[in-house]
Formats: sequence, C-alpha cells, structure tokens
Amino acid sequence: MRKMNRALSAIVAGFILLSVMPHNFVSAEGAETPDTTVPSVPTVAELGDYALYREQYATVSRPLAKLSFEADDLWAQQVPDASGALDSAVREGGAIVFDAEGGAVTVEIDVAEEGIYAIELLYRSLDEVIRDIEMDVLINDVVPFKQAKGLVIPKHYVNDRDVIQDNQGNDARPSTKVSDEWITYTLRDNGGLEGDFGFYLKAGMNRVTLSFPDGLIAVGRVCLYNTQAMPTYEQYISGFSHQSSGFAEEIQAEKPAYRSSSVITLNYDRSGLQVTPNDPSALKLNTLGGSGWADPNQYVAWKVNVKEAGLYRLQVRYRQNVARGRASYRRLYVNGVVPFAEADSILFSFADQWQTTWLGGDEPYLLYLNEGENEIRLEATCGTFVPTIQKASALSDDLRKLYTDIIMVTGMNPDPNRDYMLTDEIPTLIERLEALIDELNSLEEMMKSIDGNDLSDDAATIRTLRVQLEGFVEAPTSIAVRVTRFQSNISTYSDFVIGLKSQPLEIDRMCVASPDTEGLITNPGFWDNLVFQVKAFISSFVNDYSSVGNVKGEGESIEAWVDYQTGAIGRDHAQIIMQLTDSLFTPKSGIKVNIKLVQQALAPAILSGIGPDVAMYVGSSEPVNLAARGGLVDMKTMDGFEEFTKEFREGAFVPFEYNGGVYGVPFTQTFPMIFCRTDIFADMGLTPPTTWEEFYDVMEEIQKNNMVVGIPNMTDGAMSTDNTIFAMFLYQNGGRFYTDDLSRTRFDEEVAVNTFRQWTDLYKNYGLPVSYSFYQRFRLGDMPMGVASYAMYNTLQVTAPEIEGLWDVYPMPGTVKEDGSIDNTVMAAGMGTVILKVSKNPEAAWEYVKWLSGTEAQTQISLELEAMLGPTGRLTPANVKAFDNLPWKKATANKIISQWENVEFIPQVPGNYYVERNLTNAFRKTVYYNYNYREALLEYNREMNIEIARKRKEFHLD
Amino acid sequence: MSSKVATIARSRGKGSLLKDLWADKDKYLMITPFFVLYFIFTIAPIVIALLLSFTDFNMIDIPNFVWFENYQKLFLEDSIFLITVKNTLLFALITGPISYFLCLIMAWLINELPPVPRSFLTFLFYAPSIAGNLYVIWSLIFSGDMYGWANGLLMNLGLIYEPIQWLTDPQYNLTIIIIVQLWMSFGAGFLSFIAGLQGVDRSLYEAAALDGVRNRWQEFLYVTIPSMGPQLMFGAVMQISSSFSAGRICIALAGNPSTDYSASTVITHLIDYGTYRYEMGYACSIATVLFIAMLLCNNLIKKVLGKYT
Repeated sequence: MRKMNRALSAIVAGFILLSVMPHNFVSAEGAETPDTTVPSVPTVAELGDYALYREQYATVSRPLAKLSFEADDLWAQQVPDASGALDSAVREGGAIVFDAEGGAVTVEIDVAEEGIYAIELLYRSLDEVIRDIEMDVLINDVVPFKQAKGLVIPKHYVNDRDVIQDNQGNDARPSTKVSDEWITYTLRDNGGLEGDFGFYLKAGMNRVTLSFPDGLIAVGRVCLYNTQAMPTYEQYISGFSHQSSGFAEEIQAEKPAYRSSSVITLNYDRSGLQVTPNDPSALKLNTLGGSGWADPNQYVAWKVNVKEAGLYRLQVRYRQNVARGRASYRRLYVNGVVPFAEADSILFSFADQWQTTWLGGDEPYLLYLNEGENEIRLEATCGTFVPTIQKASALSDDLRKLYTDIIMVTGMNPDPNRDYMLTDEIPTLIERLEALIDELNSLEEMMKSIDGNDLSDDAATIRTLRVQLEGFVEAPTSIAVRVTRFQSNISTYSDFVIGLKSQPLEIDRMCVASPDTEGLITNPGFWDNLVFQVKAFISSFVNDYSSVGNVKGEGESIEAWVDYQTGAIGRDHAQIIMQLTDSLFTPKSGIKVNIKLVQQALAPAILSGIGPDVAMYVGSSEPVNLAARGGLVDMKTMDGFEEFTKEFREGAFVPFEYNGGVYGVPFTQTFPMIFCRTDIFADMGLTPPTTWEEFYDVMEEIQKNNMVVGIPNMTDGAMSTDNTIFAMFLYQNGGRFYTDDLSRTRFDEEVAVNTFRQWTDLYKNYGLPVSYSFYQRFRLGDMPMGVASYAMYNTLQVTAPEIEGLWDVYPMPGTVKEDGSIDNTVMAAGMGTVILKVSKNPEAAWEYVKWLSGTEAQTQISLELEAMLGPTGRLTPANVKAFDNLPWKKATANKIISQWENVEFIPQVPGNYYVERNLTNAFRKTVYYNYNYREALLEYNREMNIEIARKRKEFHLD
Repeated sequence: MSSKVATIARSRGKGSLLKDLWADKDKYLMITPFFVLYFIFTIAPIVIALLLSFTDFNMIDIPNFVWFENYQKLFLEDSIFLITVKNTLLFALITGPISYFLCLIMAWLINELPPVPRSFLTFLFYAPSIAGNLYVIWSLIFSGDMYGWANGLLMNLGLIYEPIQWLTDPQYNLTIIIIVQLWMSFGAGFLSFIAGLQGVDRSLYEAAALDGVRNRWQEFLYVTIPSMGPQLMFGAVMQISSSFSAGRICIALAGNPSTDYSASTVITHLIDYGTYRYEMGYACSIATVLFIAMLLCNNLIKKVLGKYT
C-alpha cells in the first residue's frame, strides 16, 4: 500500500513537472523545434571583428520594419555546460524567467528579403549581483562577429536608501543595489564606437539565439527593427507649438532615478557654494559621476514632474576637469528616445571649475515634456571623436603587431653592433612603415578638425611616433637600437587611444525651466563664497579626520584600528567598513565600533596600554612577533573558534599560530597564478603549461622568439626577495620551511638544496629578468607569460582594454609526482585581524572579528568597494564562501578556485624576518655572483637558525 | 656673558644661589618655554635611551636590568654591527669632508655673483635637501629593470648586456648611496657658509690688500676663513651629525636590511633592532654608542677649528 502511494505521488509529481517544463513551448507553426541546448560558442580569437562584418554586408538594405516577439513567441534553451537553467525556466507575467544560470532564448523569424536589423531586448535582472549581464548572440547558430560574444547589457542600479547623516554630521554614502525594473536596451558596441549593432538576416527562415551564461534573467520581448533617420532640431521643433510658462525646478544630480553602472558614484565636493547642497564643515554628497562616468554607453536617468505638457529648456551645472584639453560628449534621451539629431552628441567642454550651460548653448534647445513625470537620461558617447578613435585604435593594433615582429628578430635588448637585416627578415617592413606614417599623418589632420577641443598634447604623441617611424625608414639598420624607445612610444600612444574614448563628466544639478523663466542655477557672489571658504578653513581645525564616524551614546563599544601604511586602504575604504559595520553589525550585536586610521602604531599602543581592541589589515608575519611578547589574545580560547575556522581554507590559520595558540584571523588572501597572452601563444602554437617540464618547453619557445617569461623575484618597490616562489617549489618537491615543532629550518635537507638550485637556475641559467614591471610588459607582449597574483586579473581587465580577450589566467604549473599526479601547490598569503590584550572587552572584539571575516561582511565590503572603484577594488577575501559571492566570470572563478584548493601557508616563527632576509641574501649571492648554491644556502641557513634559537631562548620555548 | 654671571655667582658664595636665581627670574622665565620643550623632546629621550640601554626592553613587557649585557653583545658578538660601523665610517669619511669642502667652495664661488643669480643658484643647490623624499627619483634611475635609466643607457651604449641590480648588488649599492648623499649635502651648512661669507667685514679685505695679500686665494685663506669661524663650526657639526646618522636614504634605496648588510649603517642597524626585532634595549645601546662617538667627533672638530672661533 505504502509502495503504491509512493509510486503514485511520483507519477503525480512527474506530471506537475512536465506541465511546467519548457519543452512544450509551442513554436511558430510549421517550424521544427530547436534543440534544448544552444550550440557552443567559439573563443574570441577565432571570430572576426564587427567592422569586417559591417563591410561584408555594406550593400544590404535596412528594411524599415519592427518585428516584435513577445515571450510567447520565444523558446527557452540553455547553454551547453549549464545545469538546470532550462528546468528552472517558467513563463510568468508575459516573460520567460530563468531561475538558474545559463539560460537562453531563441526566436525564429521568416523574412521575405535579406536585411540588416538592430536587436532590442526587454529584460529584467533577477539577481542582486553588482555586475553587468554578459550575453552571446547567435544568428542561425553562429556567432556572427567577435563583439557578439560576451556582449554586455546593463543592469539598472539604485541607492538602497536616501542619503543620511552619520553622527558627525557627514553624509554617509548609501549602498548600491540592483533595480528589478524592466529594461529596454538595443544591443550595441561595448566600446562605444560602432553604435547599435546591425545583424544580417538572410531571406527565409532565420534563427536568432540570445544566451546568458551568467546571472539570472527574465526576458520579456525580443524585437528586430530599423528606424527612420532622426529628425533635425528644426524638424523636431516645428512639430510642437505649445510653450510652457512659469515653471522652473531643480534636479539634484546625486538623486538619480537609476544609473547603468555602479561605478557612477555619488561624490563629496567641497569646492564651495556653487555646488549644492553644501556645508562649510560637514561632508555632503552633492555631485554625481566624474571619472567613474567616462565609459561609452554608461547612462544616468533622472525624473522630473512638470505641471503642463509643453516645451522646456534644460540647464546643467557640470565639471569636466579630468580629460585635459578634451571635451566630453553626452547623448540626451527624453522619455526613452533621442529627440533630434543634435541631441545625439552634446558637448561639455573642459575647464578646471564648475560650469553652467543651457543645453544647446546660446539658443537653448526646447524639449517637449509630457504633463506629469518625465525621464531625462544622459548617456556617455564618444560623439564626434568616433572616426578618430576608430582610426587610432586600428593603428594601435598595427603598431603593436609591428613591434612584436621586430623584437622576434632582434630581441628586446639588441646588440647595437650587429646588423639584424630587418628588411630581409621582414620583407614588407618598409611598406608597412610607410603606410603607418601616412596613417599617422592623416590622424593628426583629423584631430585638428575636431571642434571644441585642444588636442595639442595628443598631437605631440602622434608626431613623436611619426618622426621615429620616418627615422626607421631612412635607416632601417638603426631600428634595432631604437626598439626600446619604440616600445615606450607605443605604450604612450596606447594610453592616448584609451584616453580618447574616455568621456568623464561630473554633474552637480540640473534645472528644467520654461522658456520665459530664468534658470535657477546662478553663480554665487564673491563675498558669499569668501565667507563660506573662511568658515570651511576654520572648521578644518576642529574636525577629527582620523576617526571615521564617531561612537557616542550608550552600550558596549570597541575601537578598531586600520593601519593605512600596510596596504592599499584609504579613508574611503575605511568608511565603507564603518558604514557596513553600522548597518549590519551594530544592529545585530548591539556593539558599537569606532574605526580609526593610524600609522604604524600597534607596538607603542600595546606598550602604553591605551591601544585599540581590534587591529585590521595586519601583515601575516606580524602577529607571531606580537603574540610572543604577550600582546595579543589567543583566538582559540574564544567561543566558537573551531566552527569559525571551517569558513576558510585548510591551513589559513597557520601563519597566525604560535606556541599552541592562534593569534589572528585571516582577512584577505592572494596567491600566484600564471597569465598567458593567448594571441601570441596561438601564433607560436603553444598551450599554457600544466607541469614544470611543459613550462620549460614553452619558455624555450618564447625565448627563441626573443621574448621573455616573468617569475616574480622582487615585487615593485619592495627590497627583499619574494620567497613565495621558492616556497612553492619547495612544497611541490615535498620539502618544508620548518621542522614540525618550528624550532629550526629544514633548508639543510637535500630537497631544499635542490629546490634552491631549481629556483636560482631560473635567473642564473635561463636568464629570467630579476626585476621587471609585469603589467607593462605583458600589455605590450614582450612578456607573453608570467606569474602574478590572481588580483592582477582585475587590473589587466580594467586598465589594459587594448588586449581584451587576448589573454587569460591559468593555474600554476605543477610537479609530477611518482604516482603520476600533478602537485601544483602554491603559497597563499594575506592580511589578518588581531585582538589586542589591552582590550577591555575581548568578547565583543571577537564578535566583531568573526563578523569582519565572515561571509556577509567580506562579500559586502568587496561589492561596495567595487561599486565605488570598479573591478580593481574587488577584495581578495580569505573567506571561501565570500569569494563565491563576488562577480567573477564563471570560467575564471572556476580556475581561481581550482588553484585555491591547492594552497599552503608558510608557518611563522619568532625571528621570521631573519629567514626572509637570509634567503634573499643567499639568492643574490648565487644569482649575482655565481656562488655555489649549496654553500650559499647552507651558510645563510646557519644564520637563520642562530637567530631562531636566540628568539626561542628569549621566549622560553625550549 | 655667561662667564660674567658665573664669576659674580662665585664671588657671592654658595648660599646666595637661590637669591641669584630670584634676581634673574625674568630671564629664566623667558627661557622656560624653550627649555621645557627642549627637555621633553631632547634631554629626556637621551636620558631614557641611556637607561634603557641597560635593560632588555622589548616594547611590550616591563624592562629588566641586564646591566652591560647589551654592550657586551654589541662589542663582542655582533658581527653585523662591525659591518655597519665600517660602512658608516666609510660613508662619513667620504661624504663628510667632500661635501663639507664642496659646500664651502661652492658658497665661495656663488658669493662672487651679483645678488639675483646668487639667490637663484643658492636655491638650486639647496633644493634637493629641502625637497623631502625627492631622492626616490634615484631609485628610478638605478632601477634593476632593463628599462631603468642607468641600465637602459648603458645597454644602448653597448657597455653592458644584462641589467645590473644597482641597488641590491653589494658591489654597487654603497657607492650609489654615497653619490646620492653628496647630491643632497648642500643643506643647512651650505646656507650658513653663504651667510658667513656675506657677513665678512669688507674693510678687512682692504686692510689685507695694504698688508700685501696679492690674490683671491690668499684673501680667502687669510681673511675670509678666519672671519667666518662660527659658520665653519656650525657647518662641520651639521655635517658630522648628518653623516653619522645617515640611514633614511639607505633604507629608501637599498632596503633594510640591504643585501648582506652591504649598505647598512649604524642607524639602519638600530632601526632593524628597534622595529623589526622589538629589541629596544639593544637598539638603545647602539644609539648610546653612536651618541658618544658623535660627541667625541664634535670635540675633535672643535679643537681643529678652535683657533678661528
């Protein structure tokens, strides 16, 4: 009986499931049902550029039509490696809603004639992740061009609350959250150069697939269309007769309805009365944008209510003081449409101060607004720069290609006395150079003709490069010795091209006014401003800038110090931690936290007994030294410590252990991975190495082509050798730094000596550079493979757009073990949080430390930082679950996690500084002076052990 | 003036010291603000450091007296201390006299110029020493990267084929730091020389010419130098203390510690013990030894320059 019941319920459940399964979506009649899975997408390197695609179909017409497909006309599908996206898909409220990642929609379109169409999408984000949506477009199961893969469509971001004041009267920045409103967006070029993409449809039946590999999304409508050319302002204005009257209202820019990117931030501006709201002493959030609102296609919208329908003027107070000499351009939308051709690219000129202008200049544009609520949207666009940028970027690619070709013959450090016969090695060299010179000349001409801009600095960059190329043509034998300067000229040129695309603009407020009314934005009087500035000056003596939000009132309170010397942490960073503490930690625990920015003050604070309860961002070698002197609280004695350690990688607490206790909690964690330039690897037929044998083979190939490989030895600015690479080799080979009781080093073992040799040989015999700038060389391509912290991924992603899609990150190569498995262990390191013995309330401090390194806080801190600084601000959290919550691309995240699962941590002992410095000395003696590796290591090892023994005696550890 | 007061005090006998103090109360009152600050920030730290040098103070625990253990270790066991003493002496002996005479000669030459170019050149020479951390530009010049300026230049000229690690290679780093120190040495001493040269009584040159001084060199030697004794003294003292306490530049350029301590000075050794190892007692004993060495050196200078003051 029970069995039957179970079977029955299974059948019923099956029926219910089937009825919501998307397989039975009915298609347009007669068409065959497509597969449930969309075809897999090739890599970017295999696809052609949109410019080529556009050329190819240049003669095809753009039919004036609007083919609209509601959700009922769409099929739900899923991407190849997704699991469950299709099963999760449901139809709800006229949309297809995916409740798992990897969904896709397909539409079948029958067109009578071939044609080019733009694609408009109505969608809604269902997750809270602050990251734009990436999608792929397939036309008849093929990705038509490069940009159609990884195409970015925006989410709309709103503030989670109004601006409020903290207890010092300063405005606190509200958090950014994803809006769940429907968005209508036409697929267009992320780079801002090509405008809306046109997709070619052949005559007959076509299949258009839009797939969304990451993120949860609901799709409401897909529309293929072409519109008529925009009217001119004359034509536009002739359509309206009713002018409004007597209306004027200000819109504060810092209160937008929504914005398309989280890095368009609200800012504090204290330049004076001309910015509202203002205050001589407190910090006010009063402007929006700036250098964060510079990428093409980023937009912000504001709402305004007007009493009567009619024509209005728009006044703006703005500042563009970032892109020197250049103007910034904005596209104006009124209620979702660009009203006339002139509004497609409105110029905002450069000046150091705030400027006020009517849109349209001396004869302001009149814009038709409906009665009631209207939406005004400004979108960054490259405006009249587009042809120049197109030309300049194409040239940039040619130049980089030429450079790579030259150094493949000469190397980066050519012998000045040798003739490399470059004209023979590269037969087309002279033609290529001459073509480049012509192009640079015409680029310079083009730049002269752009109105409203002073581009003399940029012209100088181009001229320098042109003169150098002319020198190359005159004397090709001189190219070899001038290749270094050629490289630096190219990198200046690349920066100039990136700069051209940048359209920064900061807005304080706008004013919507009837044609017969004065604008509300006026310049403050001289005396008013003077009084304000004097007040501001006086109050600067009274304000306490070191504390970030002050604790007043009753209840438990603790103090936390952030040392801004130790890491990349500034006031804004601390403020984010403070705000999150206030909004998430204090309400739950009832403990108030006061955060202070300090500078190398921990030891004196412990000594004087008036230190903080908690210290954040403490380097991992420090806690042991403080703990040995009795300055820190043992976390092991705290409630729930064992449970808490499970949120981290195994071994994450090793650096904080001392004499049986644990004196710190990991906060951030990074580890090295290997970065490869996929374009250069493809040219040479190489694949990223997975073992050290393969690594040496790849390195040999790269060096044969006169390029280099980078393994960090000294980090920029630091003076001691980066021992994590030595440690990595040592751990992979089965050695360890210290004996199990941490009483001495184990460098006198054979495995350590051999590993030391392996490490020093890289520099001594394989000629790897000892110091270099990885970022610069990787960008230019003369270092196509290098080891760096995984955080470098974000830096490259943001600051090197010219090589976007041409590189990737991989797990480190490993050592093949006897059983055939590969051990690619790397060393992880990071900052930690400690509780000081002087704390009067260690329990409260422990609660705070637990919260700080917990999943919620680490996720939120990272998201907030990223919202403000862009992806470069992304945290490298120690908390495993927090990493999963960060907006990494899935494929990249999987690679990082697979490396993170194989990390080890170097234990710390009293006297650890002596190990570090003597390893450095041994390395340098071996590499610089060809000293015998065994003797060098053993000699310095003795020094280390003497110091460790001395310290052990001091702390009575034996 | 001071000797006069002392004589009067002695003549009145011991019992009237308080009376004397009371009599001069206005003067004591006037020096009090300075004296309080001087005591708190100069005298007290010296005394405290002297006391701490006999303890095992570690920045956190209560210090215990260990008497001469620190000094015993410093002089008998610490081989690195000997390296740093060698470096400091080398450094002081090269940069001290060279920059001292360089300052003097430059000041003399500049002093001959009309006022406007003179003040311009004075500013130019003095600029590096007031420009704070400007010397980090040298770390760009001597970067170990093949794109560092010195490496790039030498490689372009074909003199070297591999980049040289200027700042971490023990062969080069001390030399480079000495060069940077010389570049920065036109400091307060230089300014005081200029002031001293301005202050020489013009009539003395006339009198000297009548007495048979024939050229500018003799003028410089027999008139200028003797009449600017206090400035020479001041310059020498400044030079000694800056040479002995050199360390900031070493740390910024070669790191602390530098490779095999090749560019470490007594000061960097002191910082090493004081901050990295938390052995403040030992660091204080180094400071005391350095203090005594500087004191002795100053006395020596006083003796040499004594005839001019």
